[in-house]
Amino acid sequence: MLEQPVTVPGAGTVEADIIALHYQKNHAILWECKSGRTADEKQAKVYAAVRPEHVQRTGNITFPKPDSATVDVVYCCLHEDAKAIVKALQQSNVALPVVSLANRAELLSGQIQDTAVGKVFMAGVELPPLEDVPRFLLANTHTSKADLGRLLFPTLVSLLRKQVSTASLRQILEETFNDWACMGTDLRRYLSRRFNDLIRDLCDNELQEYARTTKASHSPGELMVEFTGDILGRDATKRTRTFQKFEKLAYGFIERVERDKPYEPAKESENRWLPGFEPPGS
Amino acid sequence: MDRRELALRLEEHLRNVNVYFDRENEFPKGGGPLKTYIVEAHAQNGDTLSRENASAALSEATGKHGLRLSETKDRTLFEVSKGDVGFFFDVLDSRFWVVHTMSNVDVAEETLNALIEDNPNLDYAWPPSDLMRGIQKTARPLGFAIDFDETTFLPARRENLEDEPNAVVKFRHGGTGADTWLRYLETFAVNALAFSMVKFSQEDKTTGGYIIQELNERGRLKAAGNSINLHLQVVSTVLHEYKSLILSIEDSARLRPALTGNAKTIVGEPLTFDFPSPLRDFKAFVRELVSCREPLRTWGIVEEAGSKRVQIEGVDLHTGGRLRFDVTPDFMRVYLGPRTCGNTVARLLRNLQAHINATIHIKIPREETVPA
Repeated sequence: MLEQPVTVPGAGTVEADIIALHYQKNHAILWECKSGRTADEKQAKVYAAVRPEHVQRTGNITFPKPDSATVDVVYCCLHEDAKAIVKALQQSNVALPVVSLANRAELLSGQIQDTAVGKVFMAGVELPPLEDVPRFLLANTHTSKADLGRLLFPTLVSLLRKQVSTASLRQILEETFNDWACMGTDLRRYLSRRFNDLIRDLCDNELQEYARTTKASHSPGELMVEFTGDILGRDATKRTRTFQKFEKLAYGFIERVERDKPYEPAKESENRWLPGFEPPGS
Repeated sequence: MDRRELALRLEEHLRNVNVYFDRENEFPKGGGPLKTYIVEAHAQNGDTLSRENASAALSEATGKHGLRLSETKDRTLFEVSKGDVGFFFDVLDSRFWVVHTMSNVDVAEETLNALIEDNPNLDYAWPPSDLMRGIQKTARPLGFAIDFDETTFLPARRENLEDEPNAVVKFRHGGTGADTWLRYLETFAVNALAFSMVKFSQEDKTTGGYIIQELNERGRLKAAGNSINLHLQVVSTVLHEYKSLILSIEDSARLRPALTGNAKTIVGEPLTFDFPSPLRDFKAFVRELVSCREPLRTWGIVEEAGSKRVQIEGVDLHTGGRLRFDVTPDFMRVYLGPRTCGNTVARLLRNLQAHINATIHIKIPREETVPA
């Protein structure tokens, strides 16, 4: 589960970056991934107070045997920030394990209850350079609108190529994010709202010839996209040109969203390819 | 017509044709070797075809192209024709169709190419070099062809490659000493050993049957000999090997949600292609990758993520599946969506081997687990 809030009554709520459940062990690990050198005291105290029933009740996790379930909370940060994080946790009187990330992921302080996992991190896990780590998780609640546009546009092109007649917002999100099923409800809501705005914008502007928004008949509140362009009906050359045009429109759209500018149809003719990556003959 | 009659017709053809594969285009209709292709098929929307709707998909594709489709007594076998060109489409495997033709190679391939071009949900098979060699090794090798050309993915102005002996290598060998020649070629041009054809023969001493075949880089088997059974056995082996490759790519590399117990997880891992030497022209390669054109047929938005690294959000234009790439001069990582077609990966690999480096292979990821 990604970016999932967990509430501890009387202590507060934390948003766990990752909740990993080992079903057979009846054990969950809540990962708090820190991008800086500070650890918020209140957040740390909530994490320290987390018990399996809190994770089950508010974290959308189902332990097979709730009565004997166990949880670990592990802080995770870059190696250069790790000492500062450990210090911040100590100052908050919180004893939670910290895993530092460099060319190895190593347990720097504290103890992980799950002994097998603890041993692995004590020994250290070899890590590839950060830039070589595969991109499984594409978005979080801080992902910008332009970056989301970069993820959305190809999904709409995919649906246009598939000649589907309609697609719901939910389908578009599922097609875009491989990890949709694992996302917490807050992240889903954030992405749904952002995609809703971006889709309306695209259908009114760059993709107006190819798609329009409607409402689902069974659920009038839900956004649907109706695809109107017949891409496959064209001959192979025209089809290729149409897809190349979509690339151009996509770059224009992303740039427009980045700069928060309105759509200007006249600008379509300008060269919008990323410098050096223009298709041959464009 | 049913399969037995088809086998008799094909065997009769085999007995009457010449075995000069290289001069096939000189022979009129019915004079050249038997040719069998593998065509990978989906529904127009990229979905998997069932046996029931495979024939409907074939009907739609051929109808669009003005080809005449006739049913046979076998519900999975169809005759397709247009003028002098005729095919037998075997859709017994609803995804991997087998297509036989006795027509002249030029007109047959012109027709089949047009059919596949007009119907992006269809694609040829793209057997990688090692699969082709593996098939050849099961029989008596009779030759091979190498077609390696690094200039294909480079801008036209890169004439300087003319000075490099292994940048463009075209080689055709005929005879039984294929292994010796290959060992020799490996000593100085291992990067260029991208097979565009392997030739081999098989015989059945009991019946006196024999078959000589050429398997090419698009999964086409050209056959001459006297035994349709031996030919069909090889077709079946190629189909099985190729299908297994595609299914294992999809099984291991499609990123998709799954339920483990009642926990939701993402299964699948991206595929990595390591380039043995850095790409000669990184930007030209990326441009080709997102050009939407043949042979790669991929669409994408390129985002620079460092001076020598790009991330691409893309679409496979064959089935419309979502995919993404990380590309650097040293490696390329491919992330497949939950329904993205493995044939796209095979097509990519085949073209990397033929135009970047013949030693590029797929690393199928293996699951790693922490001991309980």
